[in-house]
Amino acid sequence: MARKSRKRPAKKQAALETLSVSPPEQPQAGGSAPATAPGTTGRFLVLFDRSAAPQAPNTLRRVANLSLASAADFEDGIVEPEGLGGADAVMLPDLAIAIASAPPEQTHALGVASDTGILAIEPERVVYTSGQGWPLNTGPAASADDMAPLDYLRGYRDAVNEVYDRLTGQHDAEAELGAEAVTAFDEADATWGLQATRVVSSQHSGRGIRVAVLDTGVDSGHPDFAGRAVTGASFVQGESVQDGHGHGTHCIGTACGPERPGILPRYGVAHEADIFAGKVLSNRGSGTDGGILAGIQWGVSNKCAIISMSLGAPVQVGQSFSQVYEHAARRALMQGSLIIAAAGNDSRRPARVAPVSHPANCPSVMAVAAIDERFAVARFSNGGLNPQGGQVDIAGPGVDVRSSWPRPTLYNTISGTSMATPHVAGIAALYAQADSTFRGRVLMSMLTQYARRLRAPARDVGAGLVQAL
Amino acid sequence: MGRIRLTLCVDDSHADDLGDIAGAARRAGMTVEQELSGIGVLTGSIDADNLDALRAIAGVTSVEQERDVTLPPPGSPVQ
Repeated sequence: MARKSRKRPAKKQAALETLSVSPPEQPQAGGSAPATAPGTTGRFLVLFDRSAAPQAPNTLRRVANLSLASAADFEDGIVEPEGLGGADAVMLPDLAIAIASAPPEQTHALGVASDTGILAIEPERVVYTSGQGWPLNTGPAASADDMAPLDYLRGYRDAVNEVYDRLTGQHDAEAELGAEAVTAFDEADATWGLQATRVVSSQHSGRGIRVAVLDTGVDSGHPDFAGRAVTGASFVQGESVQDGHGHGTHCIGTACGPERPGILPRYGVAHEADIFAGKVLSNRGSGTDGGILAGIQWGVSNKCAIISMSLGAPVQVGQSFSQVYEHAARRALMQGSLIIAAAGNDSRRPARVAPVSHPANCPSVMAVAAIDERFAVARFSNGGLNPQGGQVDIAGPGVDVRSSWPRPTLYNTISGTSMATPHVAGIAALYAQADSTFRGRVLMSMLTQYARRLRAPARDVGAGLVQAL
Repeated sequence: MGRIRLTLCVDDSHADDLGDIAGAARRAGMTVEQELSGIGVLTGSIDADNLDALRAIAGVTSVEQERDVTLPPPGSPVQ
């Protein structure tokens, strides 16, 4: 296979810019040195769609005239970092990625050709092990790749500042709760919670996903739910699913409320999800394990991908989780239903932090803490004090949350981990819609993986603030 | 001793035999109110004296006294 000449310095510069690679800072000897951006190797990674991967060798040859080796040709599939065995590119078939060592204009040809199945082309980066330190380039020409050490140093600076503030008595409670310098939210069109979780810009609606909310029922005659599929069931003796409390209608509004409510702002996440309202708490707000477990079974048997439970009972420090609920939650996960539950409101921060409540403290139940619009932990939100499942998994907006309320009130703004939980549940429905493999434990791990990390400690907010997909 | 309300769960290998376990639980004195086969759970009540007999049934992994959960009143700012 013929290899193309690599000495085209004049064109190289333009092609590099097209690929959004910073021009090299270092002087070039005679204009023939490889034009390599700082922190990159000069090679390119070409990511193929899986379905196009079998055709990748032909594509690379046809479009960019690149000769190709396959990782399968190398001993044990190990590709030496130094060379590509004489070829221009090597294919990593399991990853559907080609590493190309070719002039940028050749690689660029791949980017502009159509029907290649190429998803992305990016420069290969130099990666350092943590023991070697970073190439500290903090001048004005520092590229995005150089910012990692700055982030690290900023964290170090913040920690030192906090120690200083504590020693000099300047420490304030807001900072301890993790408040961040967040721009104030304008709630004219959407609640702060939908903005902070990026729901407003999501392409997903929860369409086709069943969301069970086990609570005090729902006011199914609320005008914001007109035309929606609402399946109801009551597990409270002598009471219909009609919500005589308000809590259930508020939670369902957050998880599944409409895209365009009768009165703005928008407050609902999964506006096209199928609503399953299970009444397990009475109009007086009380319920029992028996009713809740019956509601879980109902959600599982109706193939609800998400079961949201803004309820719980306090536990003591050192108390272990319920084996019965853990067992039930594990079986629910195996059948594709993820239970998301409120961490509880028993803390009085900063003086007292209470442990995550039952049943959110089960390892197979996702526990949700509440944050406010400055991303600080809510003063009432319980923390991960107990081991083995007693931790907080994720946080949601839970202070000053506007949502639907039974007629004639229509809307109410309240706070609680009960309000944070349906934010996570609704967003989980967006994930479930986006990919049919996002179910059960996979769904739980996707939610935490994509959560926005916060200044507040993991004990209080878990992986961070849930983010829409 | 008085009557207590309870929940119990069975291990995965007995999940398909929930009806048999419910029968054994009744013979041990339990009033079985719900057989939740999808999640392998029974709910009901029993005299506290008979709890050990319930725990002795093959396949029963946990027996727990039922808890109550209570929401704050609708007017409460923190729910």
